[in-house]
Amino acid sequence: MKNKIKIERAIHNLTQAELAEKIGVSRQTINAMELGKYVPSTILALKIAKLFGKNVEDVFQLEDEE
Amino acid sequence: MRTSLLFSHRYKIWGILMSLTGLLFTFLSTYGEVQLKLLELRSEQKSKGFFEMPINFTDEIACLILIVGLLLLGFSAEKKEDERISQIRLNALQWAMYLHYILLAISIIFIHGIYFLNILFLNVFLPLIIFIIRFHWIIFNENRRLLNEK
Repeated sequence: MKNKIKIERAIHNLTQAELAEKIGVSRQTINAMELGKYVPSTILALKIAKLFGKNVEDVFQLEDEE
Repeated sequence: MRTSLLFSHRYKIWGILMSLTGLLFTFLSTYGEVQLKLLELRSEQKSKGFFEMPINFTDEIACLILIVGLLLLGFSAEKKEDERISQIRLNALQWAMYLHYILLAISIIFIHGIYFLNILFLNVFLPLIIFIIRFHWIIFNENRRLLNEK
């Protein structure tokens, strides 16, 4: 699964730590997501999208194999 | 893994202390013949067979303390519990199971007779220990990666 978290983070001028704080997860989680090592739960994905003011599909995209 | 099945983070330090104490005394009493006078059984009552009471409870108590300590250490919640930590915990549990049974299979093949009893004894604690090591190793690596990135 591809994600645009890093891009959106840059647009909103947030560090990983700040984003983690706002969402209520650890910084490891944000980092793992950005590196593609972790697929977030639905709730987490929705929270992140909501924080960035975007739709979930704008931030997270299914890859072709999935 | 549901957070409600985990112990509070406060218990982690107890887990460490109990594990180390238990580990020390388990090996001392089993292999070093150390017995604590404190844990001597006073009565002369002895039932035969499976439930025969030992005179001294040092090794039994030590093993129990070790088991409880490892459980507390392994299953106390992190300071910040989130879904990533749950996933890591699950991964570490799987690893522990696989590695434990692979090692057991290898020792079944290569170790026989009375020496195998030592392996069986280690088997009581090995899954928990592997799990604890693997879990904290992953967390350590992730933290280190974070530090490098910042």
